[in-house]
Amino acid sequence: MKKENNISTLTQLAKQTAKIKISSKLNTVADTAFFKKKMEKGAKTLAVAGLPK
Amino acid sequence: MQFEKYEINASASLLLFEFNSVVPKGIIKKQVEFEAFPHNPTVFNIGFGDVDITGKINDLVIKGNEGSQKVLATVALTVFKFFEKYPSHYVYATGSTKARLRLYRIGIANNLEEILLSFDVFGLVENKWERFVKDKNYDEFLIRLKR
Repeated sequence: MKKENNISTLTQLAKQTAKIKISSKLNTVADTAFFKKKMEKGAKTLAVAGLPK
Repeated sequence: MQFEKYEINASASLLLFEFNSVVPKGIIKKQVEFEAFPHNPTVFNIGFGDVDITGKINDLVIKGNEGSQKVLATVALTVFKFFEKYPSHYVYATGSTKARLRLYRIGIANNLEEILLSFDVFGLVENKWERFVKDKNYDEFLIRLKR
């Protein structure tokens, strides 16, 4: 019974850790939807226009 | 730019910067990040936004003109720092809203002479890059160290 409780606690901790990792990953500009849109826009532009001489 | 700037914290890679902008209602944490385009690794997209109280970034907030010149000058400083480490690379910029685009255009145009001492600035017109000209409505910009 005690072993099962420990496993349950560990599972919960693992889940919490996973959540913390995900939320901290979202804390940079590069992870935001607006930045990803700008990356897509820029990638299309660079594919067509290339770089200036 | 000779404008006052905020103190910045930078990552060792000089690709991520943070600073606190001071407005009458308090302090707003700002973040600036440069990320390379996968198919053009010499070109880095610059993004910046406010870090809200939950820690999320919001690029769409324009808080009037409260200190925006000082904020833009600080963002410009991060571009200088970026080029210190990546002198042969390019920085690509575009705005997420028309208001933000206008802010960038005005920021570049108002300081163009000084910017051109150190950088080549290009605007996109009909899918071609041309040297940045004042009073032209570019949607996308490319910056490199002066060659």
